[in-house]
Amino acid sequence: MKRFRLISQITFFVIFILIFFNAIIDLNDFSGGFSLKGGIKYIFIVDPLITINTFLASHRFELIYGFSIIFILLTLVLGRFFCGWVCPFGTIHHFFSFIASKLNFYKKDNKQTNFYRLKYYLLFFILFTAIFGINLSGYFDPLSIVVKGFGIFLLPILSLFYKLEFLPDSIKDFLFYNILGREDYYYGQAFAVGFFFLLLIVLNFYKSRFWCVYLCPLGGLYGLLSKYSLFKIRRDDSCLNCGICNKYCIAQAEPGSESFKSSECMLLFDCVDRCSVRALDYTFYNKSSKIDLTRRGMVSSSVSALVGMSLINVSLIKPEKNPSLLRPPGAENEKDFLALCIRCGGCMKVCPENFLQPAFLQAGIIGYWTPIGNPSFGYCVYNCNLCGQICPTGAIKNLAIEDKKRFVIGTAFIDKNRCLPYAYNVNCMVCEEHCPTSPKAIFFYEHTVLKNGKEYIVKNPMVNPELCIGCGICTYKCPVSDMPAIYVTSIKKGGLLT
Amino acid sequence: MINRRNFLKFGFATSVAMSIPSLAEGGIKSNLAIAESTDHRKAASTAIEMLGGIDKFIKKGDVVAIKPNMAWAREPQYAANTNPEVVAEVIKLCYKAGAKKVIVTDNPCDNARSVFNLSKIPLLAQKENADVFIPQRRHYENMDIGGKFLGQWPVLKIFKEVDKVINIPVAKNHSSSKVTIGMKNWMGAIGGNRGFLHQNLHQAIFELATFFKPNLTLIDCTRIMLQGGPSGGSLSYVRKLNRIIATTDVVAGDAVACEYLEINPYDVRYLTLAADNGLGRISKSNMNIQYEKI
Ligand code: SF4
Ligand code: SF4
Repeated sequence: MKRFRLISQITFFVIFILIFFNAIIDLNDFSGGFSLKGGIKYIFIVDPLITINTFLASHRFELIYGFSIIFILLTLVLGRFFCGWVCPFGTIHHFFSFIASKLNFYKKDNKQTNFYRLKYYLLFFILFTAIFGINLSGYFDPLSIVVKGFGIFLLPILSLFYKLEFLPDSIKDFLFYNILGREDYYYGQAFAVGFFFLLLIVLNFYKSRFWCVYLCPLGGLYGLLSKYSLFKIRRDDSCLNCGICNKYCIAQAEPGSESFKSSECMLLFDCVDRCSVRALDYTFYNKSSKIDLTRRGMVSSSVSALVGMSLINVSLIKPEKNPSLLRPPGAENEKDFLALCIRCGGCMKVCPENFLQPAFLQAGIIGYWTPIGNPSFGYCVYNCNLCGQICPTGAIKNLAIEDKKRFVIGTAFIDKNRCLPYAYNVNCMVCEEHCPTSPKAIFFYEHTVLKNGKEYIVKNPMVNPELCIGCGICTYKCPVSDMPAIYVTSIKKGGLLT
Repeated sequence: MINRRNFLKFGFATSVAMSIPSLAEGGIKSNLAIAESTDHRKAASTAIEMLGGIDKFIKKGDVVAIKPNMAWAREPQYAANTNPEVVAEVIKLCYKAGAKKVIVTDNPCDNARSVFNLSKIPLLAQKENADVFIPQRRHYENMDIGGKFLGQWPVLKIFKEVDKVINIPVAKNHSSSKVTIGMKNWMGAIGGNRGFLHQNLHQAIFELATFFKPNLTLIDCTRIMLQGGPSGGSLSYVRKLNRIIATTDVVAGDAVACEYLEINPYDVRYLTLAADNGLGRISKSNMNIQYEKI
């Protein structure tokens, strides 16, 4: 059984990798507009936590996520097989746990703790806040964490690797066309995402599959479902009570004792394979397991959800008023956006000029790691709508390209103290030349100046707010590069230009 | 827009200026072939034919790199990029002359994927079996430009590695250098912080044109941009001329195209700089101009 499990883990991990890396801009086919080779949606259709939570928060539902019903039904029959056989994050943890055990990290014996309940409380916490329109699943859902970890942390590292001088051209081309899709990956929050991701992995050296056993809310959801699952591990009378199965159970499900917790069992089958007398079997077994969630724990998780939410909501300034809150084109209003966005980072991965970034606090605490555009890192490409194409939940709408070109994400302003024609009476025009709208949102106001007794014409750029879409290319290309003389703020955002 | 009367006056002044023979440019005259046809492929092939035929420039087994102006995310009709039909025709001719491989690339100002798609040049070039690629950092190499202003600078090395190079610019008005035609087209073959070059733009253009020595320059005047350049974006800036200029003297070609753009070539500093330093001829009396309309 264990062998099949391994094959399944590897297969699903490979599928995950393929879907993830295939969600990349197509750089070879110049015949059409911006397109992706594949999407990342398919990663999340096995994830009822994201589905339910996003529905609770946003009251929107996309049909494709109905697929997760299959996983719910399967779990009701088979138990928590997802964690042991499918989940790519679980497989990563499993791999590192294996390494940790080979390196003899687990000196202490596998003693039982009650901390496994944490993940259920976390699950309640998340679902409870979702009712109030706050979608926390992005921070705690394992699939969102891996996608984000790979996209925001691993890809920037790979892009550094790609830049190494001595790398052969063929490898560089492979990375450029199939893995990275662009040369530069800079994210202000990459270190934080990376730290979080690595921390969860490092915890495996303390306890095998730490995340899965103690924290994972998706595991919790599948655990609750598998409480009544039709198939379970059953111990028969030939058991010698040697306890070896309990010792090797990574999931702390105690298959060798009266209090076997089927909700914890990830069907890893280490126990079945270890048992010297074959006393354990995976069969039809309808005794429901005890998950002894305390009432106190339930109450305190709900109360803390309430308290947490109030704390979030009394944050001092209204995040919507933050001038740098430039949302991707297709993100309508802030409230719906926060309810729908699962912080997976897909949009940032495909944004061809590195415009989209994980937010720090620009969108408030609750908008941490949601995408915002930052014109000092890049700009929004006029003919691109990739973020809308990849967004798995529709937080960024998939706009038709003609609508995308009219979608306002912000408005440009000129800093006359720094803009070269205003400040020094010299001509510049870089912003005007790059402004992609037609007619251009930047125009010139000509005036004559006297210099060394000679008259000549200086053209001062001006922004027409009726035409500006806030793409930020003017800021990005402004030759006053340290603190650009033209900048974009979020004052006017959402909706199409008429 | 320039009104008609001014245009006439202006045109007259230019042609007078241009017909003053310049002693500095003395001696041999530069050959210039201008072909006009509403079939732009035909215009391109005729212009080359008038200059002596493609076999004069491309030999069997040559690897050829073509440098179109492919800088802006605009469709062909806006004249912000070279006419894709013209590029495609040249590729076809190169293969006909026995070229081993033809490569087309450029370092655009807008997002490369966007430019490569909208300009339609890659699409048509690929149909003619040319190699088209988006430049990555590894395609640049620091080279010694050997100028007074430009020393070491990252260059798209393909244009220095191949056997033959063909420059196919489009004639446009330019907000900072007045015009961008053949000489300025080489700005697209370098990397680095190009904004920096604006500090001494004309010198930089001159030095780059000296550094890149194409075997043939074909100036696309099938439609030219008289205003709002270099990126344009309005059809009202564009005039259809249906002409192609073929030459080996980029200065002469630029000077003639300047007239089309209603600019006196003597007012364009990089052109006078180039003429004074012997890169080519600016005065029409030093050119052999052939013109044919099909
Ligand atoms: S933000 Fe703009 S450039 Fe980036 S993916 Fe979205 S549409 Fe494309
Ligand atoms: S942000 Fe700048 S470049 Fe973009 S539309 Fe506005 S003015 Fe033009």
